[in-house]
Amino acid sequence: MGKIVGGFWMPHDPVMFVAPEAPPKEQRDRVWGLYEDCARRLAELEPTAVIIVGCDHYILFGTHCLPRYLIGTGDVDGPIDRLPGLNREVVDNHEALARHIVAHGEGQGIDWSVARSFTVDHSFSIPHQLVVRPAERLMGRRLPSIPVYLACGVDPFIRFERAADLGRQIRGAVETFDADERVAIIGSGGISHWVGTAESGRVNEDFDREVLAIGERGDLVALCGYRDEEILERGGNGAMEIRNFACAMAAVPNARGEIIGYEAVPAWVTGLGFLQLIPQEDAQ
Amino acid sequence: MSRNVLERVLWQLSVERAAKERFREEPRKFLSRFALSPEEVDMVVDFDVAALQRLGVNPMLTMGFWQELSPSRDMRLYKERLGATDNRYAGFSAALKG
Repeated sequence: MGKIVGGFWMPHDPVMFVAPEAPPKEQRDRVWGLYEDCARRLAELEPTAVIIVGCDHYILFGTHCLPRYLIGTGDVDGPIDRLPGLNREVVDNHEALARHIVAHGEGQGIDWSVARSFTVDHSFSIPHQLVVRPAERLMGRRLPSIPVYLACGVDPFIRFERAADLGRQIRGAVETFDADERVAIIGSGGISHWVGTAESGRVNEDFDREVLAIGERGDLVALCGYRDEEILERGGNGAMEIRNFACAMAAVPNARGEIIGYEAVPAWVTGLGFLQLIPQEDAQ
Repeated sequence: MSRNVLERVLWQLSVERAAKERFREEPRKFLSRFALSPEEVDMVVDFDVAALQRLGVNPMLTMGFWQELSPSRDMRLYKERLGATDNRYAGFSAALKG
């Protein structure tokens, strides 16, 4: 029987790669250090697989096909977007577990859209290359990683409750998998940022710290209680990605959060929040 | 309501190399095969990102379109065109398109 051993919330800010020296040195060093901290924490969980919950930024999917939720069950590579310092590479997927999540979902009213051969974007690759790859080096072995994409950037957006449903279904699938898998799940995104709008560069630290406090309490009801209008007003269109946080939190059994760090970085147009989701039976 | 067509056009212009080339060579001829009004064609040709966003076009697409194909690609000018009137939110914006 498999197990969700923990999870994380972390950002996927491409501006870190486009303009790496824009923020003050001390601040940018802290942010890179937070990713290193996440990698160390991930390795300590001794996972055998990772699920990264990202979202399209109107690059992967066009008006002809806009999936609310999708899982990569086969070949994976990426990222599709070229960012300095982020390698385009083949990703080890856990195809058997990904296919099991799809099959298990069919019995739960969850009909996954499936990508049998998939090129991810930076929302997967930044956590993968900054956290999963270093964790692999710390553990001395590979960590196959499954991409899950929720509609956060392009409407019709996935509902929060559906994002949470998916997290619970992923947990159920892992727990019925026929191997002793230890799975960690990463909710990639957020927190406040305005993408392509006149407010781009604004960061709302109050909103960000409110979201992190919700994560710390493990309050999935409060997280799913945000209305889109409020998120757009207080956190920007980029903050719609906190749906990924809901999916990750719901996947972790009785999750409570531990804030790893937070930096408001206007020069990188984002409030960058890092949190570990700890199964309650393992919490201090 | 042409929002869907405008998003289809801008998505193609952001991610498809052949579409970008045809648009650079003859923008109005490229746009003629889409169900766009003359005003909407002008918005695209003139990179009127504010008008496009007022019609509901996703800001990620207007930004990508601007960064890929506008004459200057300057993000400060992009934000000025959107009506940003001060430098409160000055900063860097992502080059998201591959």
